[in-house]
Amino acid sequence: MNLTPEKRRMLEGEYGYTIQKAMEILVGLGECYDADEFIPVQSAHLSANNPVSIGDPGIRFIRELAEKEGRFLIFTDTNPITVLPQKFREIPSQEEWSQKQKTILDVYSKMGAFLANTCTPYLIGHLPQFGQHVAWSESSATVFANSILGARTNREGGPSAIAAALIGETPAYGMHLAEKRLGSIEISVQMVLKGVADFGTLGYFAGNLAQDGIPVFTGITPPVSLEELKMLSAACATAGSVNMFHIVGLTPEAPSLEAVSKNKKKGLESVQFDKKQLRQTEEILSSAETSDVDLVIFGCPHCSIQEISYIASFLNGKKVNSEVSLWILTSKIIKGYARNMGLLKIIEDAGGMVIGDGCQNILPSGFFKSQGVRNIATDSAKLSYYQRNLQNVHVHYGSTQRCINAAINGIWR
Amino acid sequence: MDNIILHGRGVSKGKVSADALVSNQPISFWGGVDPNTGLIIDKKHILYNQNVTGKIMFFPVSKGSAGSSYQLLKMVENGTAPVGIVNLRADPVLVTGAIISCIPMVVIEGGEPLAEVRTGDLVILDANIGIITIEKNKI
Repeated sequence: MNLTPEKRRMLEGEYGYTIQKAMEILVGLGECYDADEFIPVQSAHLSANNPVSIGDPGIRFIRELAEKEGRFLIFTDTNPITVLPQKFREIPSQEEWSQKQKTILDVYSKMGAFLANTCTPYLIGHLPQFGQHVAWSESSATVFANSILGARTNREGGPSAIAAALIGETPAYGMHLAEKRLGSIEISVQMVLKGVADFGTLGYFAGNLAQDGIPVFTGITPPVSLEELKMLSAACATAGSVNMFHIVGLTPEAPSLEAVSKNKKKGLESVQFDKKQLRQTEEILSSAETSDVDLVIFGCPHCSIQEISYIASFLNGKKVNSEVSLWILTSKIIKGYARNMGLLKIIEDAGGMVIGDGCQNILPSGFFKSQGVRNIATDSAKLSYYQRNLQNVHVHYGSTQRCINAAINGIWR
Repeated sequence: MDNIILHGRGVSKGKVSADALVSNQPISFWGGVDPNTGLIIDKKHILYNQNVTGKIMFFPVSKGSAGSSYQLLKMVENGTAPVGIVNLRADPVLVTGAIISCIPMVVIEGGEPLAEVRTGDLVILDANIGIITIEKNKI
């Protein structure tokens, strides 16, 4: 990289430990990707601000940055945190986890972070503009910011987003460069997709094929809801290391297939997605061996107010089955919104819980086993992949409607 | 058989020697590897139930959650980390993780390096100069 004399001094430690550490990460990435220079970034979104993801070594790492005068120079907010729902029986280490979580938030606060505690910051006003350079961690939000907003961010790991927030700049590589934002594979959608789960299924299929490339979807007819785009983003980033996708005729950088094709002459390799691929992918995402359901979870990524309203409309006057727990995960802002609208009362009267700030993927390992949860039902492809591996539970995967029915009936049909 | 020398780009510095663990499938460290044991826990993965501890891992690219960066740091603390990583493409999430965890990592672009190395081969990984030596004359 071509470092200015000032950047070189930062790297050599003249500005202190924290700046030096941040520069080591950024210059390391810059050299890895042949970046020539740094560019300013307008905002950062941190991830892994919870004790389950970062563990004690991660806590030491961020605490040292904060103690040595680390301060964020740009608007920076946080991802969900470890929330152990009250309704569950206490697990032995509950106090310890809560204390560690508090330490992490205190450290980030000290550095100047805004405690959004959500994986969908774009739903509560953290909304970069088209073409704006940002440094977003949280893989699902990265894909959303690039694809839907047309902002420019690489898949930042937790520490590289911190580094960019501390310096206010990042090396100009990857998604920051127009020529790196072209599609690598066409996914030709040959069916009408209905609801968030279908879009998640498509995203999982596409992420698997694209790996670290950029899928271009054709055959998707607008309108597509915000929630469907959110689910598509999350699933792409689960099955692959996808930075972004294009939907021809819908996302802002994809007026036509030609416009976003990497290879203009030969065109892109094209793979079909129809009912057969949908079913096959749904099977991969479903692992439950019995029709029992212990827990139904919505909100991976965090629910929008419209999703909560949709779920509440089916719960009105009904009861969640006594053998089943129902969790709806969202930001505390959206939870307040739901409270204002009376939706929270409907859900709680039915026996469901709306959990603000939390995330099922960052609960202590073995948590669900300790609570007697064996089968989880979800409409999220991302949740399905991580829960199976992280908590070793079985997953029923299907439409939002099917999951609501399972919550009420206690059986997956 | 002669040793095989591969050239790549050192993205996280250091030099190590260890046995190779090879896969042609992407790996997610968050949710794909247990940081307490080093075992690959993704049941759909070709290396399911294999242990990455002390190995030089060869795979195309990492995938999945941004939480993976810290996973390597935790694994170093737990003594379950791989000692080196060789990828065909660099994922910023893993590159960041390797840098903060001081795990040597090399990215090889082009060719078919995963066809040159087998699980169990003794490998010398010099990420300072981007050179990987695969010892093929072990008895």
